[in-house]
Amino acid sequence: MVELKAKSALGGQSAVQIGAVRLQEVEGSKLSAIAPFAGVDAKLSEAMELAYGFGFPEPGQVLQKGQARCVWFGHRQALLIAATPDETLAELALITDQSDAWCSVSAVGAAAEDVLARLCPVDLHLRAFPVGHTARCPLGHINVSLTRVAADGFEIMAFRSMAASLWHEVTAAAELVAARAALP
Amino acid sequence: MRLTCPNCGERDIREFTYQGAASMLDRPDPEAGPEAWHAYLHLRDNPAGVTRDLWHHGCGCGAWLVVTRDTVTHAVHAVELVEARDAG
Ligand SMILES: [Zn+2]
Repeated sequence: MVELKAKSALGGQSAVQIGAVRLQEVEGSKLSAIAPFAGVDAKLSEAMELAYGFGFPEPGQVLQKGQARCVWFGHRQALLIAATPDETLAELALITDQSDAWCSVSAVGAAAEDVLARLCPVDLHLRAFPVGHTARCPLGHINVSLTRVAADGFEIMAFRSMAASLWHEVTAAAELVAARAALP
Repeated sequence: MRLTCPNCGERDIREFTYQGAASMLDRPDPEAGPEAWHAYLHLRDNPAGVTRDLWHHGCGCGAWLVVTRDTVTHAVHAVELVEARDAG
């Protein structure tokens, strides 16, 4: 069989430190979208609980156990990250492999919140958007999934086709926040 | 204008797309006859006051919503999932 070279969405873009934020592509996790069939929500949550130790997430919720993570991903949709879809789920939900379909970027540092606040029209204050909270929202004109992974850290996911635009938006906003911070 | 999506909370109008009157959800019986189908497809109220329409939260959770709002005062009275209405 031919061995093809895997290429990440940002094609080897190295991490950058701009002012007080570090931007970096997050690569390589297995991603599966889970969309529950009608009327079996409770059964699906039970099956997920057995397989992963967490149920189906509520809107805005991120559930995690060990490496496996499940992020609320839209209306009646969740994204299972870094775990193999259990076969018991197949009768309860539509499961689609999304690995390589998304570009993921982390923004970590004291300025992360300020940088994203320039781009996303949601309240990103720690009080309103705590660790483990997620939202689907615009970032500029890009539809993203935004998750707070630490008090000073976010993970942003956009369609792979939007990777270059996403990187452009966040680096440009980071430059502006850094320029303002450097003012006397 | 801001809409409070049942999934996402209060969000700016730019995240939503307007589709039209919520009466589109009340599809007549296939045998209801030409009058009912004509009304369903072509006739719309244009109220000065409370109206109900369909919005799509495309740059958010992707849900279809029924928005009850007032065309005179611009007050938004309710935002509900179409799905919740189907279930009820
Ligand atoms: Zn929404």
